[in-house]
Amino acid sequence: MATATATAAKRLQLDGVDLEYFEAGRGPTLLVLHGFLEMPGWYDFHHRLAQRFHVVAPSHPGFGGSSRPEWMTSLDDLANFYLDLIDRLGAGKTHVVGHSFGGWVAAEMAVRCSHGLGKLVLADAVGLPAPGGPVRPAGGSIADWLVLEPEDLRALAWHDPATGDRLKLAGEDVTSEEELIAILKNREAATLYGWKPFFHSPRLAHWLHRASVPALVIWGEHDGVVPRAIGEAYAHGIGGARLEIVPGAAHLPHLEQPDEFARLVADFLAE
Amino acid sequence: MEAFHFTEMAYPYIPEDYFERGGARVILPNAIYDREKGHRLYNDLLDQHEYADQLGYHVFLNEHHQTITCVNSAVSVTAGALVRRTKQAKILILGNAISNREQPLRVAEEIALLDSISCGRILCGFLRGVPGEVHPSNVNPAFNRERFMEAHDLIVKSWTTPEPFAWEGKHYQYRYVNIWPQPYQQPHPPIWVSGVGTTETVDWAAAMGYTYAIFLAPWDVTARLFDRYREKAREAGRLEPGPDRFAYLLLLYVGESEEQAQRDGRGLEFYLRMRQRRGFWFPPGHSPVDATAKGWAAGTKSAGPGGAVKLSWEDYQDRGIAVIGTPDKVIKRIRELYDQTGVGNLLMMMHSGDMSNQVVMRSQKLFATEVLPAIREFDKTPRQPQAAAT
Repeated sequence: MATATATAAKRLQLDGVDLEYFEAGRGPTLLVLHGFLEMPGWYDFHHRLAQRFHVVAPSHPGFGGSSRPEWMTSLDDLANFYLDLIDRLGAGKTHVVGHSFGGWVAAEMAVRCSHGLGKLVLADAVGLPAPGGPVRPAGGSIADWLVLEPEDLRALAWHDPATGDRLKLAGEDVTSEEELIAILKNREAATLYGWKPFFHSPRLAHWLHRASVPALVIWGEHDGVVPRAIGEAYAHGIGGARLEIVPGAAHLPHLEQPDEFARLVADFLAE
Repeated sequence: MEAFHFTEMAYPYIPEDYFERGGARVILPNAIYDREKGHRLYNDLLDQHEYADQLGYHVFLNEHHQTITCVNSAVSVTAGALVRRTKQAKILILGNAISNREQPLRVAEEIALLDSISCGRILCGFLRGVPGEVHPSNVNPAFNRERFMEAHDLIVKSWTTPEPFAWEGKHYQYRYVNIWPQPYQQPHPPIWVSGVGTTETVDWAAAMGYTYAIFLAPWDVTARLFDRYREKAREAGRLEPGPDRFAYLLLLYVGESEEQAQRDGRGLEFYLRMRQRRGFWFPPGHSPVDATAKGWAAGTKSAGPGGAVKLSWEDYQDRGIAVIGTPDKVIKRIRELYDQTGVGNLLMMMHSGDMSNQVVMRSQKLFATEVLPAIREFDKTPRQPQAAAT
């Protein structure tokens, strides 16, 4: 997938993690937390947001070039870790944009301690059970992306078949062993944190009221990985939140419609 | 050399398009299962094991979940069905996939109970479980190895500690461990392990002195792993491991003539041809990421039942993964296997697919009367290093 070359990876040490992160731009600080399907990195939408914000985009512990201490295995750990990171950045109120798996992390941060947070954006976020039980007869509400064949997963995650090859999913799209190993390493890290319950917490919905920050929920119109009902549950559970649908996108609106995604985020943060 | 009867207990009554309908594992709808055919299948297969006991050799049971490759979904139940109906046979349970169990102490209790009823005829195998077992159990594959080690340590301690103790582990916690009964065999039943995905398992088995089993691998691979075991056992300060520390699973059919053996033994091939979805075979974290990458890249969209390399039926026989033929031929091949690997326990898949009990028992009887008396003595003699490599 096209990665802007504006920024090289940086590193910092925190809580026993050797953290890889990408950083650019000036303005209010915006922490961007990535999902489980794309490689961590610096993409077009980061670049657009960095025109107006100081964007910090870490690779989660265990993903990409970030290490993971052996004891760090849960969403509690990740939420506390990123709250520590905000303290470390020392930039005061920090906006958090979390997509997919990163949206779950962002929500868990906000229910624990929101006084260091500015605004919250959750996009196609996992983390909640679908209201009313599993939306798929087998596999659960969130698509079992760990067992699907790459082309079947792509059909759920990416709307436009003409550009779908921009998403690398460990199929024929992968051209080197290094790339395949990097993707499988991320799948392993995601599994470690989210295998059971499958990428959600049965408790989170009961605490969403504690996320006392302005919040925006963004969903790709055609997301086949995480059902929109979960986005509606987030918007319903966080006081004052609203749900915006991005046409022409599935699970990855920030990558498939980067202009529209960056505009929605920037407008909301400027409100 | 000791011999063990084995059937994977596959469910053979499946439609041609089973792969399109989900493949062998996890998501093939169980509406395909026919309870009358299933009832007959289970009893036929248990009859084979009882017959092995009557003929004077041992039995080997395993367990899988939500798969047509093996419908023995609770090995303690089938072992329980056999302990009172068999008299002399060792009952090898290989095994319990303890990583995937939420209650490893239940395994400790089941083995101790079976061992008590059978007067110490249980051989206790512990496994990490094949990768596709993580979906039915839904236990996180990224912790599979850690859980295996912790469950093993807990079970062995529960068998060998004469008073209540507490366990506060990473994956298991018990405030009171004090199991009744204790195993009949002291300090506990012999422990067997299997696993060829990485060298970690063989190294650990050697250090612990456990019997190490290899399933359906080429003989040269098997010999290398057994040599590694011997080397690691020496490094651990153990006595030179004898043939009893090694086991090998092959497909085996003995016939009166080569022609009859080839005709009736062909039914064993069924096991090697079942296919399952790649996604259910490479769960993240179950194996090291570089090993997963190799398997994933080679697996295209389907993977076999595990262990076996993909070959023609003739190649399986040439390599000795399947040994099919007259008693003389089978004796000769098993001698070659012994000479090349030093194995002392022969695990024999003598049934697969829809082979009838008439066909299987004919082979069982020939094996016991014509083959077993000869091969029993093999491991009491030195290996012949000049044996032809296969």
